[in-house]
Amino acid sequence: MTNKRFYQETFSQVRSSQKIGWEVYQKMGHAKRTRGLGVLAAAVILAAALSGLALAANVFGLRDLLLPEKGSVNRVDETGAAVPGEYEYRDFVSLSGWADTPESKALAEWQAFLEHYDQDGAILREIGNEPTGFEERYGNYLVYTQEMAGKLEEIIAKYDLKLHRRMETVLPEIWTLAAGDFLKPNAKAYSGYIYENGTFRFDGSAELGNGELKGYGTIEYQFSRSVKGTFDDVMLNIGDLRDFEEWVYQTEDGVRLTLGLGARNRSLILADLGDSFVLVNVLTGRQEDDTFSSGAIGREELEELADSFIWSTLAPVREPELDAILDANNRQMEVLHNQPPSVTPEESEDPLYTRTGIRSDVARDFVLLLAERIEEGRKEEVADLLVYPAQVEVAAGTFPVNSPEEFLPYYDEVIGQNRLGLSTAMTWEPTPVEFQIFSDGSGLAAAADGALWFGQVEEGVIRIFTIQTDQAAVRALGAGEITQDTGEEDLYTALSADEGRGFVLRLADLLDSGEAAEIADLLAYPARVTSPGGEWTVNTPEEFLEHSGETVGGNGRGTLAADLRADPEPVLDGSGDLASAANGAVWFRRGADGTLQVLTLQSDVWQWCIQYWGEPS
Amino acid sequence: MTVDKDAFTTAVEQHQNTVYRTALHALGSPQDADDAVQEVFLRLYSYRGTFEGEEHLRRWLLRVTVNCCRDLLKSPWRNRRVPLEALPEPLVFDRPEQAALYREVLALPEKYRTVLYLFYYEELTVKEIGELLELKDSTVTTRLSRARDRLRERLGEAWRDD
Repeated sequence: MTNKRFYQETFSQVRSSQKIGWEVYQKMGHAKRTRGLGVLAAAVILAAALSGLALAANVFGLRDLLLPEKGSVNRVDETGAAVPGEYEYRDFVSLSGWADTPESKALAEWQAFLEHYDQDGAILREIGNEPTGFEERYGNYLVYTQEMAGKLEEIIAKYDLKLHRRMETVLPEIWTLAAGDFLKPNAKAYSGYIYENGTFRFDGSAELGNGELKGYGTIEYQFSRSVKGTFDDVMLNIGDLRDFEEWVYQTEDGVRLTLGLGARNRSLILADLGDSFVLVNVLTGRQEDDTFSSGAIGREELEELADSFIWSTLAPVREPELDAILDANNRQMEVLHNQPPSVTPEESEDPLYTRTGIRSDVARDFVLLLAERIEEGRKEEVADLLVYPAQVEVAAGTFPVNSPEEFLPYYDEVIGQNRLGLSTAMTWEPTPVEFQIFSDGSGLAAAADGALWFGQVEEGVIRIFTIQTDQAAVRALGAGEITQDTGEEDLYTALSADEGRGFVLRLADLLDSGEAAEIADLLAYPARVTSPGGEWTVNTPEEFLEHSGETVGGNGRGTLAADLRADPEPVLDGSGDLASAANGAVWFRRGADGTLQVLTLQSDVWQWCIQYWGEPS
Repeated sequence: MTVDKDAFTTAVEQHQNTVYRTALHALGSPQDADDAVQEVFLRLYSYRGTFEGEEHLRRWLLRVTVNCCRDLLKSPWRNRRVPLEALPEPLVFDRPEQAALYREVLALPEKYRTVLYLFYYEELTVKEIGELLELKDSTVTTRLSRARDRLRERLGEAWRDD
């Protein structure tokens, strides 16, 4: 049985138990969200009030945001699953503003009420998901009995607040219409929601990296703007207040913010903008979040994220036109669903990105900053950027190095004695707009005429695989032979787009029909064959055919053929002698005999790969 | 195809479990997955556009489910707890190795679970998964590869090399 069948047979037994009906939604009208019985709080365990430890005093800081009582959450195990019956206490903050504001006081009272109301969920279970009649006025709140409605009315009257009346989803492309142009180019908003008064929330991401040589990458965040004067029942679990290092930061557009850098995997940005309060929940801290960030952050990254928003455009609040947002959403949905799939502009317009996953501008920044470190002799910082285990090749021989500490004794011989030569070669530019970074199809990028090879080791993190000079070298082990592309031969110039496309489509036909012998004749030799069953180096078509059953004649060939057909347009490599198609599934070039040769062919999910394993021609 | 009552009812019959399984992989919790099912079909109910056919609708639902789960997964805006008595009965599978697969898949980090499901169950290609999750193909491939390695390590012979 294949894994696919095993998977499908297993999960076909997993089914939803929800009863979904047109009538239920019809009765609910435009209620924001439904009530899932399983997830509503049944009982909240209160802990002692505020912890006794204080942070450094700020006029307004995280402590001023804290709700008066801690709440409990299920403990989660190492896999992220909740452990029933085991609780941990957490600090909660209001998203509506400082704790002494009417909005936050009202929230604290409402939470205190909810914590003692319907503790065993019996009332809620009885009601289920049937309409209650409270949806029209309280559809944006957790209200399902007259008693709850009465309490909420009492609270908002006491603090002179309004209730949210209407909410609309906002698609990513609609945020400017909904809330103005408050995102800088490096920041992105996913879909979210906005209320009638301009309160909105969304998840987003931002590209950071100006401040660190590592080229930070993507950071994810949740953005909340709460407009004052309306009751909002949303609060945020921030873990332990003591985990945050806090300071005041003035943004590039002159707005003073409170930043809180978390010791764990969360950080905060707070802004009181007069008629609204903004809280950005940043999904990483001094400890990275494996899912939502490219790595841990420091103060510099948090400040860079804070400067990714144009705060001055968020105040004063402009009430949104919800009907216009709704119409724009629907138009956008139509556009999205009618457009054919296409490659992203950055994939099609940036050959280096296509080949290495690193955008040209990011690669350039990396090289420039590395050159600066080398020139200034910042040995430890350079050593930290190498991929380990590695080996150094020096006059005395070849030695393994497994850590920055082990590499440092060799630093001067490998890098130090060529400090100026290396840094100059890395930053030399033939023209102001042309930078000498290239790639050879190995997935790595190179600069300084091949003295430096680097690549992305994980999403958003760039590391050095090789630094080599005439005298010495350090190379990551297991990275394969790195070929230096001299660009001396212009093999590609005689290859037209039509010929390249025809070659790719022919290859697809051969894969589909299982013509392994013909495919074998198209390969460049020697070649390295990697499959789940092992690895071999083959030197002739005959030797390759012994392993064709595990590659071009086995699993994955149909998918690969389909991928080749879907994207047969040859993409010229930046160095000029290679072409690829189907997003790198195949690489080819013209051989010495004038025919086109396949250098690399790999299946959809790297189930197998055939790669040219010889010297560059 | 516009979403009238008949079309909606048919969509629920045909795709509710797809939405649920996708959400279960994304969220790792049956209760949250059921919440997501409600939310996704609320969005379908509210949707004013048209669908060109069943496949268009399925892709739309997958996309909405992924986005909806993303919101749910990352939003600690609400304190959500599950009382012990509200937990559903454990699933009973036909064979022990299926129970093991279910357990090990749900034990994977979220970012691996979703690509695994979309690849093996929904049979989307790496490119399609990348478009759906807004990830580069290489990222999808890496996640898939690591997820498969992990399952191979945990399940032994039950999970073959493929």
